[in-house]
Amino acid sequence: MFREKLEQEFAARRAKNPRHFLRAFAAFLGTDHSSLAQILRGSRRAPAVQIRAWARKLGLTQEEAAVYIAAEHVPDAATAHRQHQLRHWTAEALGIVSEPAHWEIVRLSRAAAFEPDSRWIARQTGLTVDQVNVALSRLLRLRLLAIGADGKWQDFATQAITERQFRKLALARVRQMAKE
Amino acid sequence: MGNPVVQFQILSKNPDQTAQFYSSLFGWGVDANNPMGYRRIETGSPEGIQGGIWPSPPQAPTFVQLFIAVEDVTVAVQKAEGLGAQDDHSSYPLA
Repeated sequence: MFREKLEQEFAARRAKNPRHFLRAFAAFLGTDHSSLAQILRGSRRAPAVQIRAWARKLGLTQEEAAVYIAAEHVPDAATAHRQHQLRHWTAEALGIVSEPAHWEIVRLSRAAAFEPDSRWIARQTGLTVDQVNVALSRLLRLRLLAIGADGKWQDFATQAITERQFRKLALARVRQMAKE
Repeated sequence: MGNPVVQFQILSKNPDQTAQFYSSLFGWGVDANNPMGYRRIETGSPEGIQGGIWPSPPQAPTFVQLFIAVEDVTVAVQKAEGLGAQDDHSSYPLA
């Protein structure tokens, strides 16, 4: 990150001349020492235009400056994790809202003639086996359904009698799991 | 017993194309004639492990999962969490 580059540069100048203070370094870069101190502390980021100008003064090429600018826009690990989680749970919720396959599987699993077989479900619903399995995976992830070691399917959404009730229950489960 | 890697699984948005690709590339056999329609991969070699292909949701990337045998899944998950891992709540028995 550009902050580390500034720190290295400042440390190098201090090593050569212990009387080189932050104020002098800020003046060299053409900024005030307060703004520079904030950037060095990490309490604010240097904007792209500033990185470009300071990089020039530090003798960096335009290409090197562009790398530092790009690096400033890469989210940190915590932000990237939050974004990933948001994408994941939004996709789970969207799947529940937009794909009736989930309810179809749950509904069929309650039928007396039910066969715990994705191919059978696909034939009953007109979906492809892959569509059934994508929905089945989501039901398992959301713990709305379980498949025992004996191959038996267990319905954990028994309180939902209608598709509307099921979607409400499933979305509540998504919210609950997203918080965990 | 140790904890061997017992199976690999390719998650793909286009499972048929993926099966076709690896069959053509390595001569792997792919058989989906089972209740889950699970595309079992037979690499044709007694060495290494066998695998499978499972459909991934449209918004998910294509990726590979490794299955590692453990004595007790719950204990293994707790230990992994103690080491900093996060449980994605997807553990359930394989029929």
